[in-house]
Amino acid sequence: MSSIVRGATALPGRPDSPVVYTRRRILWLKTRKAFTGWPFWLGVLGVVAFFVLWDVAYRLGFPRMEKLESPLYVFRELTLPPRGATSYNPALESKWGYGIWTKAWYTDMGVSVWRIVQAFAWSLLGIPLGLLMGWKRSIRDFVFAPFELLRPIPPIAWVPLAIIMFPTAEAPIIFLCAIASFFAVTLNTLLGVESIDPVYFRAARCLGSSEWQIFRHVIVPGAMPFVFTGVLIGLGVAWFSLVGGEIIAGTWGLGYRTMDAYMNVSTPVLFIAMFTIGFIGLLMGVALRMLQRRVLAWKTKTGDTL
Amino acid sequence: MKNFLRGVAIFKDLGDDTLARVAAIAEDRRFPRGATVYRTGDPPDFLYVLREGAVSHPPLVGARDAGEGVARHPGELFGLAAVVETMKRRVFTVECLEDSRVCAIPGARLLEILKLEPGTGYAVMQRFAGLMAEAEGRVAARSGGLSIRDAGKIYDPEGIHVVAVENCSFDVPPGGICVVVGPSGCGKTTLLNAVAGFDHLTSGEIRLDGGVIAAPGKDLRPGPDRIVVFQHGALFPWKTVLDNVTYGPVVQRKMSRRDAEAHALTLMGKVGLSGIERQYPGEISSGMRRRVEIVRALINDPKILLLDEPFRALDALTKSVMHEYLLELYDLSHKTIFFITHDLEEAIFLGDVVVVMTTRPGRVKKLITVDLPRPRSYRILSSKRFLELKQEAIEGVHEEALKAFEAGERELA
Repeated sequence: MSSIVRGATALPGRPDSPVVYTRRRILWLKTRKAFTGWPFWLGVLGVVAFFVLWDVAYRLGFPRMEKLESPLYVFRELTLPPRGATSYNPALESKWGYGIWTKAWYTDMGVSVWRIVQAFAWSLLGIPLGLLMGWKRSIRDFVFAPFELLRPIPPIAWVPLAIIMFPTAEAPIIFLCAIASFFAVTLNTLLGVESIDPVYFRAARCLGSSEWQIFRHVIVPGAMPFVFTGVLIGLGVAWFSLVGGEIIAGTWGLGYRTMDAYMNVSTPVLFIAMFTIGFIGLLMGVALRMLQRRVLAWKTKTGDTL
Repeated sequence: MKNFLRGVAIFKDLGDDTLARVAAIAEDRRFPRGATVYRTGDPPDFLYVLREGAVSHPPLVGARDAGEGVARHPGELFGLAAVVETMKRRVFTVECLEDSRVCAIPGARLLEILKLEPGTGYAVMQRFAGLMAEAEGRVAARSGGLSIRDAGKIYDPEGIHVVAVENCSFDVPPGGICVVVGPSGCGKTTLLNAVAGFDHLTSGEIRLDGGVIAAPGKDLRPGPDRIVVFQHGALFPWKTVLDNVTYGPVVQRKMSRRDAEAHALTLMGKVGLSGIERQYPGEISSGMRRRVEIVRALINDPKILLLDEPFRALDALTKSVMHEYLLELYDLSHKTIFFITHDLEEAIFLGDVVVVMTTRPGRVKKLITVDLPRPRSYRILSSKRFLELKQEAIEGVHEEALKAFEAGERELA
């Protein structure tokens, strides 16, 4: 039994085939499917189309596009070494010196990602808060009003307060990222608890659960799909505020770099920083979705889309 | 006290000294009407002898079947668990149906006194054990008796009076299947919710094995002695089938997870549900989900199983299979079943008693005793007696259906 995985018969293969679907084989089949199916290639095609359109628009000198750079030039800047690093052939050197060969690019990434990670960790406190709010009506009533009062305040409006409260360079930025993300996580978690069909609470009571067991076995797993939605939104919002925070208070980081590039009129650097943010965000999103697929196996397996 | 005890049949051969000792430790107690003498699950301490009044305990030594199943003869014994050493918990809940006077004898001390008198003392102890064994046999068959008396429920949202159920009285015999039929909105589900402990009654009371489980102002306390199988199913979608089935015993700490799993697997094997235990409810068919849910209820050994139109969403073919399946499970366990439906044929096919209810306010319109033999199979559907019963029921229901229709109700019986 241990070498054969449950649900294996649902996978392709004739029913009488002698193939044993081990975990490893299933993983391989799934990976192969992920990279050979239409969805993947359509995605790739979409990205390529975007860059081609951008390039064409730039070359034809469309209004507002002519002041930008060609994506090919940005790619060149990203991948070529800076002046004096390897050779003296100016055709093989980047002009602005910000890309995969320079330390600054990695430092910016590291600093920003570390800020996001910290902020994100703080914002996860919204999960227990949201669960408690959904569990006990009194907690919800107590917390919800002040919560709704603070929630509409955009992250940017928190900037002065953050700087007054946290006199270091780092903390205000983390605070800004965390606060925006926290609201998204908490409210989605609360929504998740509220979305649980009341029949599950009744069933759990019938089967002799204590209040705590209802929390543990009904509220937590039942709210999980929405928790993940909240976390995904929260992650996006955290990046959003990160750039805002770094523009104002930073000396390093991808957000700071976009602003700095704008000040120095170095459009390729601006693009590199922007797309780096996009790319890291994408990777984090993918990682979270993978985790989600694992935790919410009960939902993915039954064909529900996430 | 001694004179009274002398008159009690079981003590009549005891020596004078012994009886005096017993009388010395016995206490005279009075309980007002409605007071609880002891509850299910209490540790047994006293043996009781009824002196006056009546209590909600099946008679053991007095007149056997007064028809009501309650003790009302002086000299009637109850609370035998106190004198049988293997019993750690009370099985019954005993309440006073009238102002009652009882003689309470501490069980452990009574046994000590009886042991001092070798001949007759031991005879009395043996008689206790005999009575207990006899009672247990009858209690096992008697467990799960539901009695609904004058139940009423008025919903009063924002001052609009809606009488959902009114003056509803009927009994479900222990181990019987009672099917409540009626058009939607007749208060079937209200009644079931009251039994399950999800909702209050506004008048009347419901008793399960003598203990009040629903009455106005009583705490809502759903529990594993009466488990509901819900209309649209309530298997936890985030737990595997096996975790669902073992949920009850594990959260109640009645079994370790390992034992519960072994038990669940045996039970599921017995009813043809092997091989799906590691799957999630979303991965199996709706008919199977319903069966798993019934098993999830039965593993808790409830006194009564409450089924709220459980087969409503199933197609006709699956439904007929599910009926036979349910009856098969019933024949195995003989649990009392309280079944709600709007399908007459289903009601008569499954039930011992069919309760036809009226449209709002929900009242009992007709009680039909189904005398079809068990085990029943689908052949019975075309038998003469079945058709007669159906005709009888239809007459009751049709009138209600018309009323419901006129009242703008969407669904008919």
